[in-house]
Amino acid sequence: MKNNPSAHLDVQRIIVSLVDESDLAAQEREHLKVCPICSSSRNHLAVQLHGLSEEAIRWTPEPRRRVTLPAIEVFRGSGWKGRWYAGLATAAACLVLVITLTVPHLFTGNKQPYGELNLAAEMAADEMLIATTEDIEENCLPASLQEIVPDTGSTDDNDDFLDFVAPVDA
Amino acid sequence: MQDDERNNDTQALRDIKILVRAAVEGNRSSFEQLVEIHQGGIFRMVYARVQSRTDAEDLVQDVFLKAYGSLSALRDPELFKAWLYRIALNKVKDFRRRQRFASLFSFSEEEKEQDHPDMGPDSYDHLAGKQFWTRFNEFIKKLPGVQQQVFRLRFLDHLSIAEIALTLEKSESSVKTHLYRAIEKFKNEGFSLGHDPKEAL
Repeated sequence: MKNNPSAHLDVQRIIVSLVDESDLAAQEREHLKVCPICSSSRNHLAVQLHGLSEEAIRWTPEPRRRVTLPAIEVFRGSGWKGRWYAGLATAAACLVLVITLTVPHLFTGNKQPYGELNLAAEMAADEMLIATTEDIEENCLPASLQEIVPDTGSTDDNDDFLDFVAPVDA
Repeated sequence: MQDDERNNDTQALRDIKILVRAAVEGNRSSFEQLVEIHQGGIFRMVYARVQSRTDAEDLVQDVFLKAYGSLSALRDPELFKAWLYRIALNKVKDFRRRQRFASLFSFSEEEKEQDHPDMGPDSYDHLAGKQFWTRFNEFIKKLPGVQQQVFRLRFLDHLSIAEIALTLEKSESSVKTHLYRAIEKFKNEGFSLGHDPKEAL
């Protein structure tokens, strides 16, 4: 080719022209432009490759689902740096939780320890429950109804009632 | 006419660069526009490798979620496309690894066959599509690993030599050498498309 500018390009040079035409020598590029045999040979291979590409597109279905990004912004830290920040945040949250549980007055301003406060409240609730239970045991009806309830301790009323229902003497 | 097309391409690239820069700075709608631009290409790329629409859809979703989550790692907006394709390639690799592992336990060849391409309601189309992918896979399997990747990225995914080099983290001259060998085999194998290529002219 170098000695004879009219010599045709061989298959290797045709392939090189398809990979990257700028890799051909200037003389070869010029020849390729004007030579119908070489350009036809190149075009034939180019069309085959283009056809392959077209067929691949043709036989690829359309996606049924579109890409959806998460509604909540994802944490955008990258690599170890991102994970390091996330770890630090978790550790800080754990520390705050532990301090809150062990030293509650640090945030509430109440100097009474959390355990004692809780115990006193529970004891008061228990006492109220016991008092209510005893009250119900003694007087299960409200005060307004207790006035019309007969005295169940007297047996006379019961005898009168029985006599009325089933008289002894006919 | 060609100048107009070139100007449009340059403008489109410039727009993409602006979108990428905004997305890196945290602009969600810019990233959504980038998804719109690239999801078709990424889907085709993934589908050509996994041959299942459902799996390809899942993987495409994963690719964009991964990209969205690690945008801050992208140093140069111009590398966005190559970066996205590299994420997609890695996702496909992970998927194949999982698939191989799963096949050890449960998946039979019959089950895999059922998940093969679903092109549409037309059974002729379905068959023709299946035949095309079978022929293509037979050809591509004959190429060594890197040649396969380079050939697919160039002619199926339409990446430039520079983009392929970035995606595969190889030099451009290495990519050209692999591509040259792959094309040579393509020519020697006489890969048939099922129709006369001259019709396309």
